[in-house]
Amino acid sequence: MKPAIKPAHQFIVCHECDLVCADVPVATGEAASCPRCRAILYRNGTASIDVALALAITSVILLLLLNSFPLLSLKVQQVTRDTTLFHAALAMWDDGMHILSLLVIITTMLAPALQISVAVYLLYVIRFGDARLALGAPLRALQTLRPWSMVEIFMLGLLVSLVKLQHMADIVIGPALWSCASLIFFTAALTSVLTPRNIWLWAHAAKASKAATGVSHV
Amino acid sequence: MSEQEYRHIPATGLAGQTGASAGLITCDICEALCCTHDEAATHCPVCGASLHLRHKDSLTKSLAYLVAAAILYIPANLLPVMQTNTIFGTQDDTIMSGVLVLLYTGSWPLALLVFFASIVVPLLKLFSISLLLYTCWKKSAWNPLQRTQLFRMVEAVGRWSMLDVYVVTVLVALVQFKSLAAVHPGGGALAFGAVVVLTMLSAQSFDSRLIWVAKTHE
Repeated sequence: MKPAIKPAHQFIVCHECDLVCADVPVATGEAASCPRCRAILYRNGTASIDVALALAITSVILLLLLNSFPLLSLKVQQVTRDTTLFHAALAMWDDGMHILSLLVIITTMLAPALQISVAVYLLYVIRFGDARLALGAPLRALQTLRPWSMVEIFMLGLLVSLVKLQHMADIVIGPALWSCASLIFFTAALTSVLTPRNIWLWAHAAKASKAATGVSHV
Repeated sequence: MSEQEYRHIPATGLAGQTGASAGLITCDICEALCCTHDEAATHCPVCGASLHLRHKDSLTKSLAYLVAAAILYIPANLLPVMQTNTIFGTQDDTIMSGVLVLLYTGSWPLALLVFFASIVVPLLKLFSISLLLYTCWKKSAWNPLQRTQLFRMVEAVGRWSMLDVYVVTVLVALVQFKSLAAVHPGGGALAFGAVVVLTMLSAQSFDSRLIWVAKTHE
């Protein structure tokens, strides 16, 4: 016999092993994990939507800096060559490696840019806009984009290139390299805060406070 | 502000109850708990993502990507990933020779890092996913917890193999000094990028809930 279905929010089904678990409240700073496969079911962090929005906006600025300034400059006998992220990908294209060039553009420029814009949109809508707007599609986009945004791996690639190049030329580190390093830091913080659970919690809280004060945003 | 440290509290699992047997499913995207008794409910009522008790054709899709990746792993390692033209002549570098160059001219920690990211990780991924696919196809009840942890590791480290693709991209863009020195990408880089993407797709298609199927039916 099937058990009676209790109100849905009392249970959580583990997304990794499909065990039905009780959705018990945990204290701040604690995470509930699946007793069978030890997947983390949910966390109770202290992050507020304002913190998340601040992280997202900082990421936007850093992403713009990363894309507009040179990453590295190379000096060989009076000839200087520097490259931005986009030009690096284009050099690959010019050499006939079109698919690889697209892969680099998607993983280091397109995916991070989309991920951060969607995050800003989501947070803005919840914080200032109409929380009844559909949050599903952007959330879906966010979860899909996550593995394809590889700024941190690109950063490591830069460092390896730096070591490879240090024997052949003078290297000047460009401003974009520092933006890249800080962007990794801020997007990691943003990702850990911007969980689906937090988004629904913030959206519900925003809805409730609007209903209570009777304020309606246009 | 990086990821917070959380104290882990195991949630209470309802013994033997799985989402599949109770007609409950957690949406992959928004983590909302949905009831699947309703035949019409194929989409999450909260975010609109399609719901599956198990991913459709998970094993077949995952296997298809895996086979493609395994085939491309051969040219990825045999073909040169880049060609360096200097006044002293032309030099072709494969992934492994790149590691050796780093070992002799750079530092051994960096050589080790590239060796792990480019050679060990893709190979381990191919073996791990094969093992997971085989045991799930056989509906094996063997060490489900360890297999889940293996899968988690595969998902987490898989992207880092893009490292070499980025190194080649940066070198191609920077080292262009006409007759003095120039770096061009080789076919190995394309095959290598494809291996990374295909193994990522293979891991994403795999449904970790299948690992626990045999356990549930005991």
